[in-house]
Amino acid sequence: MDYERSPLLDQLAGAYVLGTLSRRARRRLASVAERSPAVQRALAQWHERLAPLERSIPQATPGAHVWQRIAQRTQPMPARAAWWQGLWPRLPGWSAPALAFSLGIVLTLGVLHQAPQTLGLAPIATRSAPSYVGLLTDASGEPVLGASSLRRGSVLTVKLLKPLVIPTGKVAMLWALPVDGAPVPVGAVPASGKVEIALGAPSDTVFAKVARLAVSFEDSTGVATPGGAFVLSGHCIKLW
Amino acid sequence: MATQPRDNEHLARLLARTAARDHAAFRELYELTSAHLFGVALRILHRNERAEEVLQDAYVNVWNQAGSYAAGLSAPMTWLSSVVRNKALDRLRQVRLSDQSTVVLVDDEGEEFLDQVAAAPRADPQELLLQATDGLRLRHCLGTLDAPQRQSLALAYYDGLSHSELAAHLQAPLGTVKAWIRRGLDKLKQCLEQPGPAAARK
Repeated sequence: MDYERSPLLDQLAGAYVLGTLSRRARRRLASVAERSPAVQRALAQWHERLAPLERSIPQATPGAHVWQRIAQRTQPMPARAAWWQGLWPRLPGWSAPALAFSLGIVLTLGVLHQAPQTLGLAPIATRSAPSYVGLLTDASGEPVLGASSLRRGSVLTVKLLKPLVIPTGKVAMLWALPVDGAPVPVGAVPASGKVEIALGAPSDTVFAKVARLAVSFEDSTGVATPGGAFVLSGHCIKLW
Repeated sequence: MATQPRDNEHLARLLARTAARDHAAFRELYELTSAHLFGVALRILHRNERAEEVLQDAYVNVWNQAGSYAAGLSAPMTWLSSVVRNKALDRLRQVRLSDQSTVVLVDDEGEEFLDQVAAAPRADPQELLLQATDGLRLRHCLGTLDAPQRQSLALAYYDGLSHSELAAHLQAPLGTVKAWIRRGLDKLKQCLEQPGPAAARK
């Protein structure tokens, strides 16, 4: 029987993509597909037909360790001693800060995961780890500010990892940048040291839709929208 | 979700660079697509840990097989989500099998609690079906199906129920359920391939 022309193929491919086939049937169809472009085409067509159904599935942010592990399994490592040194010169200009940023976040999260109190980002007595973490970098990709808040916490702890040069007469304002709206002022940050900013609502409410955090220099702490450019920015990630 | 033509072009470029072993492009691809794909895996698998494992495997696959992405066959996002969806469904079948065989051994209140937490805020599959197809031609085509056909398609797509699980869930004979799915998919395909009324094409 010429299975590639059979209407049964189309039915099976549809059921495969929809998800109704048993484990065994799925395996068999997948292994046939490896050798048959016709089966691949039938599957791809069904994926394409049903793809719009995914639009309503809520997005979710995977833990930061997912990318770490993917990177471990995929990153080319030519020389074990200092693979990143070899990597640097080959990268286009913009990606060096990006890479520094990713390394920074990976290292920081690693440290935070092991010992959240290291940066003073979580009280030692608290058993749960910070649930929202942001690492803000300057234009050169250097980490300058760490921010964290416990899940359902009412305080955002901000720690300057290196002194911030605030122009005279200005204040450094921290902004939460939601995925789908205008920046929301969080509070003023100092030039160095650590500060706890009281949140108007539990952290889950404040940061649920916040993808990034950023700092700008403003004339006063009362501004509702950022007037200056962002001098620091970074992803805001929900953890644990 | 990145489905605009411009996004698609960008994603296709990133996939091409990923195939050429450009790790920075791969990273950007991850940044742009992981939230959507994690949502897809989470919807099917419920548990964070399982969904993260599937996501991890899927992206490693993408890194290794980006060269096999054929732009003519499907949009980049569709291809990526097919990798995740297939892995999630495979995992689900595996999990259900082992859950069944260890049902006596599993007596972990914590696990049950986690399951309940994960299950609590989930949207109804039929509701998702309506939301997803708002304003689309697919909506019009789903409208041509009978209610049981539509319901079984939604349960299968969003919750990953197999033929036999659907039969149990809907309390209908297995043969009947299989026929609903088969005819439902058939009608859907025919409708999508027809020129159709202009108003519903959007």
